[in-house]
Amino acid sequence: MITMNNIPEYSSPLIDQIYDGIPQTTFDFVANRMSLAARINDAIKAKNWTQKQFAVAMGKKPSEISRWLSGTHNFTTDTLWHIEQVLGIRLLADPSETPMYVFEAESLRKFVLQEVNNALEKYLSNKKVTMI
Amino acid sequence: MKFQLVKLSRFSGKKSSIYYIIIGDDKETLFDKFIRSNLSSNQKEIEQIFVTLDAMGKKVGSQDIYFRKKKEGKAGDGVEAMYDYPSAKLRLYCIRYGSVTLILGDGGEKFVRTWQEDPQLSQSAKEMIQISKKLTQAIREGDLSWNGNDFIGQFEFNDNDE
Repeated sequence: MITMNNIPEYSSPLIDQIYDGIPQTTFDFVANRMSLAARINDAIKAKNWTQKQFAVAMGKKPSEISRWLSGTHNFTTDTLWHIEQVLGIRLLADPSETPMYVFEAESLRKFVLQEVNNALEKYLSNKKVTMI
Repeated sequence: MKFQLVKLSRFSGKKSSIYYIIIGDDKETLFDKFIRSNLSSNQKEIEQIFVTLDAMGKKVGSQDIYFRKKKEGKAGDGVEAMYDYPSAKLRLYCIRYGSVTLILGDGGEKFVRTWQEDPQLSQSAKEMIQISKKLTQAIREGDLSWNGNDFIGQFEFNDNDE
C-alpha cells in the first residue's frame, strides 16, 4: 500500500538561471498567443465542430488549423476577423467602442504649455504697444 | 528501469502541474540534461520552450492543441512532443494527463523525419514510452493519484515493483 504523499519538489540552478534571463514581455507575449489559440479552440468545441470541420468552414487545410491552435501562429487582423465571422465570437476589439487615448509625456505637456504662455505674453505685450 | 518523479514549481501553476523525471541515481532530471545538451546550439528554442511551459502551467493548461498530433510515437503510448515553429530543430518528449498534469522528458535535435530514424531520439522516445507505461499502471492500481492538479502517491519506480 502506497502512502499518498506529495511528490517531492526539485530545484535546478540551470533552469532558474535561464528562466530569470527571459524578459517578462516575452512571457506575456507567448501567453497571449496561447490564450488566443485556446479561445478559438473553445469556440470550435462550443459549436460541436471538429478541427477538420472548422478547416472546411475557413477554407483551410487541417494542418494549418493545427498550427493556428498551437499558440505559435502570428494571426493577421483579416484572419482574426474571418474567424470571428465563422465562429460567431469576438476576438478583436471594436474601434468604435474603444476610446482612443493619446499618451503624452509630461515633458512634452510642459513644453506645450510654456510655448502657449510665451505666445500669449508676446501677443499681450504687442497689443499694449499698439494701444499706446 | 528505475526512475523518480519530481515537481518543479517554477513552471507549475493553477492551470497545470509540471513534473520531471530523474533516471536511476542521476543527480539531475532528464529535462536538465536536455537543456544542457542543447543550450549552446539552440538557446532561442530553449527559451521558447520555457515561456511555453510557463504559460501552460500558469495561464492556459497543458491542452492537447499545444502538442504535435502525429508522427511522434504511436497512438496510445502516452508520449507526445511539444508543438513548435516550423523551423524548430528541437523535440521535447512529454507525457500528458489531460490539461492539468505534464511530465517533461528528454529529446534532442531532430534532423530526420521520424524519431525511429535517429538513435538518440529513438532512445529518448522509447525511454518515455516505458515510463508512461509504468505511470499508467500505477494510476490504474491506485498507487498514483491526483489532488487537484498535483500528483500524490508513488513517485519512485523500478522494475522490481509489483
